[in-house]
Amino acid sequence: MAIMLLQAIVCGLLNGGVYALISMGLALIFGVVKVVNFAHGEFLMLAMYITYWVFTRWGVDPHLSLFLCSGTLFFVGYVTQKLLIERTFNKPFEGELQIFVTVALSLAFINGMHMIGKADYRGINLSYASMALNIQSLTFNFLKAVSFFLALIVSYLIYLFLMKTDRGRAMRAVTENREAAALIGIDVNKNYCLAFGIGAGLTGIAGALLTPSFYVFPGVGLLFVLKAFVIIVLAGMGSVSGAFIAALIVGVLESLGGFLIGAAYTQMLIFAIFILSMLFRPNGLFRRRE
Amino acid sequence: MKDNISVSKKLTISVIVVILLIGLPIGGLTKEVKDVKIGLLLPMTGPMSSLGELNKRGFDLAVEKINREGGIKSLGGAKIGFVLADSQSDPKVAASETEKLIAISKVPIITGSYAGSLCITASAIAERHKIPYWEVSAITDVLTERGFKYFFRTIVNTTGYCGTAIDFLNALGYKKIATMAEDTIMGVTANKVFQTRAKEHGMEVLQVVTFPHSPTTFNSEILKLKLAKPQALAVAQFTNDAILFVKQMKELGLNVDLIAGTYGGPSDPQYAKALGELADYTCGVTVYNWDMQTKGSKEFVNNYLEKYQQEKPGLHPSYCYMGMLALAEVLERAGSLDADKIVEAALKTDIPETLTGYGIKFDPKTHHNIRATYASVVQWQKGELVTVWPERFASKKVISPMPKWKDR
Amino acid sequence: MFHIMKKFIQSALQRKYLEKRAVFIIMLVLVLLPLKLKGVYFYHCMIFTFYFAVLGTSWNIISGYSGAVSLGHAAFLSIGAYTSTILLINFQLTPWIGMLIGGSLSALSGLVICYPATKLKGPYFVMSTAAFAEILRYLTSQSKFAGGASGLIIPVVTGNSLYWFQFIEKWPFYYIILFFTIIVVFISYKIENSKVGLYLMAIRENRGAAQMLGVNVAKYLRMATCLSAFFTGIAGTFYAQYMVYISPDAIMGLGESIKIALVAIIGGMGTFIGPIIGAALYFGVGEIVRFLLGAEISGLSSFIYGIILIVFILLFPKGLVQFLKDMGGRFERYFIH
Repeated sequence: MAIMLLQAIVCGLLNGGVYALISMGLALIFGVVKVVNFAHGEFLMLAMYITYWVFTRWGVDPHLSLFLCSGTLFFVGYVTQKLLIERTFNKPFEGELQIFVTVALSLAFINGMHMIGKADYRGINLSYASMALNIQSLTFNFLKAVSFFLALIVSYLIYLFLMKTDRGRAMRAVTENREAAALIGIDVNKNYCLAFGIGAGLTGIAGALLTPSFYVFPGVGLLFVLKAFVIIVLAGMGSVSGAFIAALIVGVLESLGGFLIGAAYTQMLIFAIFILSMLFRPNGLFRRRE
Repeated sequence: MKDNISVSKKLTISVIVVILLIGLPIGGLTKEVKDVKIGLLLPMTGPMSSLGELNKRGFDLAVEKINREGGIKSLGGAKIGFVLADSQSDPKVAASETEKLIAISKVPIITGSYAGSLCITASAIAERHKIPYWEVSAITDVLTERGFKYFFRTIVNTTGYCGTAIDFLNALGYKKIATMAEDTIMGVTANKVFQTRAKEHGMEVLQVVTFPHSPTTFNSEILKLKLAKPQALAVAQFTNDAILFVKQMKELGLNVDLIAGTYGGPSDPQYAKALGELADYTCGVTVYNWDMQTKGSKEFVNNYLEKYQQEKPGLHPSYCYMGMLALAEVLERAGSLDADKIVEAALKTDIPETLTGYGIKFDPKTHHNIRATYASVVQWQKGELVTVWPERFASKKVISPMPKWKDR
Repeated sequence: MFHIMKKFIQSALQRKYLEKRAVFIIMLVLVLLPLKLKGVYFYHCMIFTFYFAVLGTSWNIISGYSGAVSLGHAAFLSIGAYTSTILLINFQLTPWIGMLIGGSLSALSGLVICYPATKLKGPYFVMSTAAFAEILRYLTSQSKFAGGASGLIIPVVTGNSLYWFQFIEKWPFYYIILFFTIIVVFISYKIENSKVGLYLMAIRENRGAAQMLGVNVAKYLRMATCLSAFFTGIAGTFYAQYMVYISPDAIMGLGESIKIALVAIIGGMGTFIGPIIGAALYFGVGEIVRFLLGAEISGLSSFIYGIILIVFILLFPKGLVQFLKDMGGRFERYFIH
């Protein structure tokens, strides 16, 4: 029994790695541009389809196609910000408008993919997909472990980017105070587009890594997006590294909870924690300032 | 207020919008159809769309056969056609579309609907309007427990279908099992049947697992099962969850001797396409498979392959094909499109055997097919789906226990 | 000659009279409609349109006027539907009373939402409403008492029955929902043109400033939420009686809450007729697209629908009604000069 609990924690951490990549992208978008991006799940979905196609047609391993995915999704995110979200700025009901524009975008993506790809469930099978490291009778799935470490590395890279580079500092300035940043000559809109692009790109990586162990269909993004929102709220507005840790916490909670009290009650618990954390810890569980 | 779009453009658009507003009653004009048009309500979009697609194939093939053989002779050789309505996998849309079919397309009968949740609302509306509803696919028990006069169901119900999974495991000698079902109307009803049937056979259910629809991971459920160490597993899942579950079974090393899957999963060709080799040895409950030597089976398989040139026909097109053929026979007997005459003719149906192995005869009170009391079991063997149980339909012997994951 | 016409158009465009006259004519048409038309499907469309109009207008009271956007209204809808249905099944209580009880329970749960509303701003509040609805959905699907995932079937009686809120024909449902729509719209209109409305809109524009000027933000938000939740709950009972089947999947999903909000947004958040127009558009466009593109190419119609929605929201950010009003303003200015 104790072994099972430990295994549950291990699984939770590994799942958390996947959630982390998805959420870090959203954290950046939500943090910098302050948009509730309901179409975020569809960025994931697009990347998964690209990974699937590229694998089935030309046998390209997802760990290679993740570069293609991140690049493509960067472009998609950049364009979304430029053509859609920017149009909603300084209009009345701006916040609500943004929510609904992203909702409509999500619908368009899902149904567009439905037309192109049909609603069939697709999957890819890597020969080494179920390779696992067995340490002390605990199973560490290889693929998931790889995603975990990649998430860690990416998280650190983003941290470096935001802290040490000029562009990153500009982005942080825009996050803190849009007007002031504009006053010192920072191109706010460009930074927004970049943030959206990078955020989408991160999700693209997540999609590539998720494909071998999950299944692909037009609505797959919807399964992950709410969780991503819970995670970034727990992490605190815009905290990308916070999102990583919060993702791990949610992964473990989900796994342990599912094992102990059943999946349905665990989901309820997670949403309850979500609401409570917004009320009592609005800056996130860690109160870190990025 | 600065606008990026010119005023005249905005004006044009709002004029169009006003026209659209007037368009409310327009929706639903029918396209050209043949002599007898039957309402066909299926989920052509939404999560159930691929099943809807397979269902439609069964209907199309049946109608082609009927029309090829002269149509409904008692109606002057009238050919059958469909008015296709898309329920979008949503019960509210199913209801809407049924209203449309009855009021605007004025169909004399409606058939479909794939899922119980879609059928419940649609058939309630048909009953209100006294239009016969010929259900060929939804197995939810309660559908024939509502005392409806115009509702008929040709397929086996949940008790027969899910019960088969347990009967099968029992026949192979597995007494210690676990069950897994999702938290929806489908899973809850399946689970009830699993528990009851297992008790009847004196089997021990070591673990009852439930999970919310479409989770992102099954690891908690798999860990629970690992702890319980059942010999075999009876599952009620949709195909997407079945795919994820099997993948994670391998990832986490959960080994059982046999899996009997109901609803989605093994009986669905998509499952094998997505899983490849991983699908091997898993079993699914079906009502028909291409290798069954039942009445009309060869013809069905040949026509299907000729038209669709893909995988051989299985569960989903079959019950539609069989149900539609039966409906044509009823129309032939009724000699009319009048609702009450159709009901009368339907009650006289007495078919000894169909594609599925069981025949059709309706209980005069519930209008459920009392001959549909069982189903069959198929297994993936080396990438091919073969019937393995009951013996009289089996083309191959069942391979059990399944080899352990690490031995594959 | 031209001068006379100009005068006529001028007076017709005087906003006050235009609206009142238009409203009267439209009402007359709507009430007399059933006497002329018999199309069952047409009624179904109208019923659903008004159903969404009620939902959108109720939503508008809290989200449009006060700016506290809710994506969890499906929760209120379901509380109403489930309450009246459970009372009907277990205690044979007439759905009319069940409806009032359901609406009140919804209003009460609205108070629960209100607490975070006063503390959370913008997107956080929105997400908390969605989370609240999701929690409720999971709870319901686990609860045997509420029928669980299988949902509840409303027991059917033969024939028409006002007492049991069930009818074979459509027209009684049509009049009932029309009646509800009129009531909700009227209340919405009254709020918009009253002190309460002013306070709500002040809260929307700048909560802090409103507070400083002495507006009891908490009290008015509570009032708005309760009203909004109450009518949404009432609509829930109507849905249950009309569709005769409710389940967590059918009415409690995030998609439902989004639909409710969308109806008000495309028509015009913050105006009382906005949601009605929005409901008509939402339904009308859906039907047109489905008619033109049919069921043959799977997904095409929903895809086009999503695109239309995006274009619409971007072109008419304040909703169609506000846009037309502004248009009317330009028209008027032209004729006065």
